[in-house]
Amino acid sequence: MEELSRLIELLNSEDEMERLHAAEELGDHTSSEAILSLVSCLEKDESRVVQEACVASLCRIGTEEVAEEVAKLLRSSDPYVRNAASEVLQLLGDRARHVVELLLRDPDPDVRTLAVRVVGEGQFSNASALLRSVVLNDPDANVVASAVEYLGEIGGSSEDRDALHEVRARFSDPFLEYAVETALRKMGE
Amino acid sequence: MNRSSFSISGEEFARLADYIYRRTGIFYDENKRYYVEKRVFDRMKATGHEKFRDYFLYLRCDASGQEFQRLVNALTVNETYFFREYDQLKCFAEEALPEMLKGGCGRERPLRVWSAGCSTGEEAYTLAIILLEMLDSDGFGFEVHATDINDEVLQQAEKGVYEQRSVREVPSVYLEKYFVPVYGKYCLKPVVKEKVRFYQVNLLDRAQMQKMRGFDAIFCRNVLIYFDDRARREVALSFYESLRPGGFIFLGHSESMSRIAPIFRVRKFKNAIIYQK
Repeated sequence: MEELSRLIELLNSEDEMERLHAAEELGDHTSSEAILSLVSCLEKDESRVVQEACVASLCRIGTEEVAEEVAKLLRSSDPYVRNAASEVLQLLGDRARHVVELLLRDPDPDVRTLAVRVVGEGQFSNASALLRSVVLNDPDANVVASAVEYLGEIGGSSEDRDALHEVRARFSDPFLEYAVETALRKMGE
Repeated sequence: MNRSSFSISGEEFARLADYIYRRTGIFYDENKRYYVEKRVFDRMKATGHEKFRDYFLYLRCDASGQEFQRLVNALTVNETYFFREYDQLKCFAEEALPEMLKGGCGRERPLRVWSAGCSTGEEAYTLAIILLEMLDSDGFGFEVHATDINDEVLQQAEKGVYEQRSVREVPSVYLEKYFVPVYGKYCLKPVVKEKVRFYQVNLLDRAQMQKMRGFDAIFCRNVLIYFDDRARREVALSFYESLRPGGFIFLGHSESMSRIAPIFRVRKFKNAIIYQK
């Protein structure tokens, strides 16, 4: 416990190397304190290398709690932090599944678009089903277009094709129409 | 399914090539289709898939990432030889090295270069030859450290005996100066061998990596492609700590550190693009 407190304290050091080492060593702890400190450091630290160490440590810890805390960073105004959060969720894959399912229903379409990217780029065993659900239910054409693109790459089942055909009836958006055409072509239609 | 009847359609190849590129930074164009197809066929056979579409889905959704790793291993030929990726070595010798020497290394302390993932030693000995040529007569000191996780390749490397295939790119003047031909093989002379220290390091072992400090340049070419994204990021951070400020890192020509971790500066030299702390 003392060691954990010392490392958390060191995350506030003025010395970049001390913060870097603390961030790396915190990856060996799985407690909520360690996770919250790393997430906070990833969000606020001004050194890119310290932020990267936080990302690496959060991936190493790799619990569902990491996914829950990191998901909050998808709303950050800093594009690096948003991307880093997205990468952690991708790398966690199925361990972040529950969190990602919630993100796919978030009221903010920008967050949903990022969640679609997490599913499309990550290692999720039910990726096609998650993307199909976005294609069939999401009200935003841009979010749907992003899901269509990834479904074209990952999918191929008759359910996937049906979902792509159905989306045409929901929107009359030329860009989305193009995305659907491309996805179906990738599926061999 | 047999090899002669197996082929991937243009669309399928494009999907696969795009996916491999996004995950590794290695791009296979249409000219490499036959090469890729053959290895994909082998992996499909090994995993019991009859159709490419089924295999690709398996590859994309395998949460462990193991199948992707196996495919990458099959696609990246683990061949190494002296003076491989010559332009990069030229960049090291003619552009990066003068910068390192300006910083005082070589005279006040030896220049330290690390060949990380050295396999059978060709890269490490190449660096020693280059540094002997560039520095030795001027009285500069240097050390080449060469590490690998595999102790068998390290034993082979320490012997310093190579087949003709390994030395095919060695300029004839160096071949004569630094090698002794013995019964169709090429033995390195002690002047080169004594400049290289081989030892075992697992790049993902943080305790071992913490001992690797104070390097002016790290060569880690075509090694990180064998690691998954999480491991690559950890190794990038360890390399950052292993380098002195201003130190250089050389990756394989198809690899990009920016895609792994945005912590190094990109330096565009005349002969190559390399990364700097």
